[in-house]
Amino acid sequence: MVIACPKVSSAAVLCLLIASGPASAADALTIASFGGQYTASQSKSQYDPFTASTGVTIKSVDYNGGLAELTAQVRSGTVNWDIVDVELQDLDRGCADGLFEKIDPAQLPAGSDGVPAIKDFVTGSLHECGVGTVIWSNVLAFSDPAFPDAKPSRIEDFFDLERFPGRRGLPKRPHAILEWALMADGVTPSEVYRVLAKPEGLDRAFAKLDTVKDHAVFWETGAQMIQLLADGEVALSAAYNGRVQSAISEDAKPLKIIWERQIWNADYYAVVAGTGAKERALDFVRFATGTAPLAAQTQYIAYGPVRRSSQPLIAPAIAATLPTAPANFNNALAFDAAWWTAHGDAINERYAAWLVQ
Amino acid sequence: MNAASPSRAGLALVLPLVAFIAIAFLAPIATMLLRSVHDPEIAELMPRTRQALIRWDGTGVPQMATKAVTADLREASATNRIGRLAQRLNRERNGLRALIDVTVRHLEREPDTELTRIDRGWSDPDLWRILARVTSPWTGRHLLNALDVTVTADGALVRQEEARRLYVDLFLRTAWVAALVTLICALLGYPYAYAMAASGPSLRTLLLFLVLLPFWTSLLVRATAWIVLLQRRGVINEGLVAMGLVSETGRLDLIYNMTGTIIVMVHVLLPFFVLPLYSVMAGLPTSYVRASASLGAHPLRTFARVYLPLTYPGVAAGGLLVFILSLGYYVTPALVGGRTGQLISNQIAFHMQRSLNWGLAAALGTLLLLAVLLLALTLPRLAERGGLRA
Amino acid sequence: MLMKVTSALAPSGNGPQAEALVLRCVDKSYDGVTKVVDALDLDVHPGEFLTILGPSGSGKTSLLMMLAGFEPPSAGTIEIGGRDVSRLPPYKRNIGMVFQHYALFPHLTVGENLAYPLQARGWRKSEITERVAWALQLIRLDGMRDRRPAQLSGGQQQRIAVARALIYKPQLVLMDEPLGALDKQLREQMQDEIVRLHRELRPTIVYVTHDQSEALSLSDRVAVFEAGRIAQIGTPSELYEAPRTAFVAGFIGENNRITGMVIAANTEFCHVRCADGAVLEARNIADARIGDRVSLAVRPERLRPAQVGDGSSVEVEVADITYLGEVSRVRCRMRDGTEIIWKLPNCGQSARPERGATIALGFCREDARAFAA
Repeated sequence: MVIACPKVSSAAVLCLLIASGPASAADALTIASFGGQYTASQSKSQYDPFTASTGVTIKSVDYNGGLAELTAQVRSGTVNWDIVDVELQDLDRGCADGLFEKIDPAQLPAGSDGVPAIKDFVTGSLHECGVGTVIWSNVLAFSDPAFPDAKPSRIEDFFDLERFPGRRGLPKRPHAILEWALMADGVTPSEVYRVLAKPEGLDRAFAKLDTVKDHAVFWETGAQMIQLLADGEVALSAAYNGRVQSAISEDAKPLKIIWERQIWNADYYAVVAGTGAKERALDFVRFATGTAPLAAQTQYIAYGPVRRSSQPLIAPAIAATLPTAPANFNNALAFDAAWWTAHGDAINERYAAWLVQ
Repeated sequence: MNAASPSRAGLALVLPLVAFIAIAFLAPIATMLLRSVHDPEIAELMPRTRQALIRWDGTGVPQMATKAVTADLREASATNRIGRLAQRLNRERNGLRALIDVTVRHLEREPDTELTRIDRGWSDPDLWRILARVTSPWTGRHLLNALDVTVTADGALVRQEEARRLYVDLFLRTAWVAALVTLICALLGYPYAYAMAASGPSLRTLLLFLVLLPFWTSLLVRATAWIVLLQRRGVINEGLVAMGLVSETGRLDLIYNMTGTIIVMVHVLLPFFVLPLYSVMAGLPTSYVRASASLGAHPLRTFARVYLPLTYPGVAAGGLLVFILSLGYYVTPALVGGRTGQLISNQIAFHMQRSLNWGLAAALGTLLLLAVLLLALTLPRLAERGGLRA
Repeated sequence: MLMKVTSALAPSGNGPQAEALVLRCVDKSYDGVTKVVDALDLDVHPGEFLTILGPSGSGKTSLLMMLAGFEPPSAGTIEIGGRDVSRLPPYKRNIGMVFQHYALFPHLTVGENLAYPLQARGWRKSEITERVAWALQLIRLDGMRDRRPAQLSGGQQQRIAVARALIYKPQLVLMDEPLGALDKQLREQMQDEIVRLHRELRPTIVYVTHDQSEALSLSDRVAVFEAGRIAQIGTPSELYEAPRTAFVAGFIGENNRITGMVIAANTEFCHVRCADGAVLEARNIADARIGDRVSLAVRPERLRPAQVGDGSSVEVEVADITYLGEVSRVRCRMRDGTEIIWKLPNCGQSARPERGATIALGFCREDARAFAA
């Protein structure tokens, strides 16, 4: 675990000693999130205002998703993280395993327009163990100069190496890419998870992936993915829309997003079971998922807020770049975390084997 | 200090280090070894089932065990551990998660329903055989899985189906990469170490600085620097294209594959080869080489018959070090290895961090450790037989 | 068999008059300023055993390095057997070399070490086997062929190192303080061994040492080095009996030094008045004139008891007496403090002086040599 320490080298050892003990000093919270642009957006729209209004300092920790670290903390009884930013499939699984505290949605503040929280949050963004924050999306992104003539515009183009030559960026996790493989092979979005659940359907998805395997470069983190696209190492890549949008609007990278058949997902704040600062953590969750902080976050990353009441607070230019913009949401597929929880083990294993073979 | 107890005083002095090694090094290894064959999680989650199945003869559906399963499922559900149990069982047999979910939901509505009436899956004797096996805390299945062998319901060992075969190839690939990296390190490092040993003090300092440079930069910075150099639009490819040596479309794939893994690993590991070899070379009296020359041997003969055999301990030490470090390499392949440059450690990390299959991770780690121990014990002996006994 | 091979080992050259080694105007300087070997001329005859004797820093090791080819001369030429080798690398010089720490290859057996130079010369396997067996017999280590050097004693290792340097009949054998690493008793045995091998095989040997007794007992000729130059070259007895400089006189054997002023001189002898007033007569090596300050060198064993007032004698006080077996070593002091060592044969009947006694010591004028002070 990395905890911010003064940059005095002699103090480093001491810092480590302090950091390795159970966290939650009297007026601090430790929040684990995905780092980079995403954590920066949370920091500016949520952590800093929370610190300003309550005096509670927030230590930010980066992690790469997954429940390994968290499981180890909870099982060993040395909980260092108070709050984690999780994706739905981890929230589901962690909740079933008792890794998270329960959160009562009735205690969440109403929207700024007075609508109660239970109605203000979009469907699925409230969970017994977590509160949704943003809707982000798995999209395809391409490097504009890599395609001087016709531009790719559909999922099928990702697998069409003849019309759109160039290397493809694929994630090292099978999520979203398997769904796209089936859709590109002719399966309609509504049928995707049903087909994928059958062995033939899975074989079909892998067979489709095989067609680009020799031209594929695999990435582990969002930062790597952006780097590959920006360096021209890959022409067309599976991507997270927020990272790509930041690269476009802040770093002026010549990248383009294909919204067609985006697969959207939500992120949640969950309070770690056994934290010594449960009440303070819940205070933070209630604050951070309020109408204004969620709306403010869109200024720093192109993820859509889960509260309906946040929408009117967003500038139109920004709203158009969010997954939730009507023009982008056409043909969108909701990522089925429950399906992945049920089938993920075997598929993860097979995808890992496929990667290496 | 009391002169009568110097050994006790000495013991007290080494105690902190011994304790440190025991806690920080031996204990984790022991834990890993244990985990590879001892996996009590399912047994802890299903204690009654375990008791009920210990004496089962393995035929039909064990009636008394069904009650035990019902009780275990209800308890796991009440204590928030059903998700974990479902996941663990699903890993042993795909589809068990759905069966557990359906059963638990049904039991919540009607607590006393017979399992076989909730779902036909409970009537399958194979399922009970699997349950009997996985509720035992001691197991060889992680080690078998790590060798791409799986156990069928009736206990037979079969090779993993082809789409899931992975680890044997990966072990072989890792060994091959390690051997290749060692060989390249030897070819590059030997002349380099010789140049260091033969040069004057100022040049030697410079050469030492250059070879140690990788140690002073973080692994990530080094990998990133190599990416900048090696990628398709990187320095090397741009240079080659500019010189007309390769065409715009024929840019070389130097990174995100096996080539990238090997190039960066050689760079990172070269100091581990050069330094032991240099120390052997620097400690070698010049008189041997001079004696050989004075006896009429051409420099090439002197090298082959005298210098090489006498510096062989350095080559063996450096080579062994590089080879063993290569076997466990993890960060570099993850960053620059792309798909084809992944090694066994990446799979261990995957199971530790992503799939949470710690038993399999421990089994893979155990096999890797065994391979390393075997090499560390046999290679020096082989080397001795092949070369130097002095 | 032994005779045949021995004759094959006789030095080869361009006729009987070709020298085994000729150095002309050889300079060596590492920094371009200080000459560690200075304008050296040296001739070594075929079959000769020549010792380079000198204190450390006298340039003898640099000379050896140049002979072996490990260092190039800064100027001048080196000829081995009539061939200019000044710029030849070591392995083309056809020399043999014995190192102070043997430099036997630790990873090869004794037999392989001996075979090494023969293999380098492309000998046939059967010839090599035969010659190795012969060499082992020569140094009386027949049973050791398959041992490794580390399994042998220091003396055995050195004998093998010598045999390895001799086995291929090199034109020139260089030995770099080969006995330096051995203890005293072994050193004496090895001296005998080297003398025997030289007598049997007659190789040309250039032997470097700082040990004057080794030099005297082994060599046909000895070259005494002083500051990069040969102070004197000659047979051991010439050097001992007739040192030409005070340095040589002091370096070879023990010598008493008495300084004084010349009061009478001719080309052969001179009279010298020392500090305490005694007048002594000595060979006029320095070609000194009246009034010159000179230093007399007299060997301790050439002193004999004299009557006070005799010519060529000094009055001394006995400081102490050490019994050494065949001789007693009597340490005396002249009135001006100059220390005089007197070696007195223990013949039984001759009277031994007592400590504190004042006695007179004299010597023949032929046994004292006057050098420029």
